[in-house]
Amino acid sequence: MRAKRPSADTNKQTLHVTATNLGVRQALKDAVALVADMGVVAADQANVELVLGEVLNNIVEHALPHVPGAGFELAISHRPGQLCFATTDQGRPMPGGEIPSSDLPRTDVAIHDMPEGGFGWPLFLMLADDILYTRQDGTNTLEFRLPVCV
Amino acid sequence: MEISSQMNGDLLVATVAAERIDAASAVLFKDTMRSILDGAPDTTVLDLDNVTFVDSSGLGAIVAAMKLVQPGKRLVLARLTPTVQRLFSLTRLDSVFEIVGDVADACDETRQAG
Repeated sequence: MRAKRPSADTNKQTLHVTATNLGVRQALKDAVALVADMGVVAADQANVELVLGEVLNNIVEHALPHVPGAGFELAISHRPGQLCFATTDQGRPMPGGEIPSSDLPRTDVAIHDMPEGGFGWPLFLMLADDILYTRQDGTNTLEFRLPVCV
Repeated sequence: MEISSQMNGDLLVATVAAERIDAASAVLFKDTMRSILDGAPDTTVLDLDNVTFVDSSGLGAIVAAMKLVQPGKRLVLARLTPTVQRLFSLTRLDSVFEIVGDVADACDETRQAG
């Protein structure tokens, strides 16, 4: 079910992302160029790249792992003061069918106990607003927004 | 991944040539750091001036490199770009690792410690 949100579709642009690490790299490059064209300032472009990197890699690693030739869509639109994103993929659902909550791993530990992973999803939750996940007819949709200066 | 390393006084300075340490390059980064840190002097400085983007996988690889440092030795991070500095700040790793503004600052830390 789609959220009860006013449509921002008028300026929506959609990127097709190849579901590999290098595909994500290319998509991030394209997405940053796209939001730069929208007039988003450099500091916010960096934020977009960081947040999208975590979301797109998460899809590659968890929704579509090792699926040859797989891809998914990333839609980007803007409105005053924010960018709106939506990813859609036909991969595995989120665990439990909902957005996992996640805290940053503890780093006040001995060096050999330091976490080498687990930073990505908490970063996404920290930086993105209005996160909405839906699963319908085998399709995952993740919508979120980022505040930006445009 | 290309990481050039050269001695600068008592320091081994390892300079990452790539612009990104991300999911696509994290494993290679870790492997390259492993060979650089093998037999390294007391202080190695990782110069990140060229690196404009690190994602959580890259961050994990940097943590992994820290864990490869032999007991009694140091790996100091230097010249973080604003985006990378912010990532360390958001994840609070900036309070865990030694981060210096310039390579020479790592040398100063050595003197202070001595």
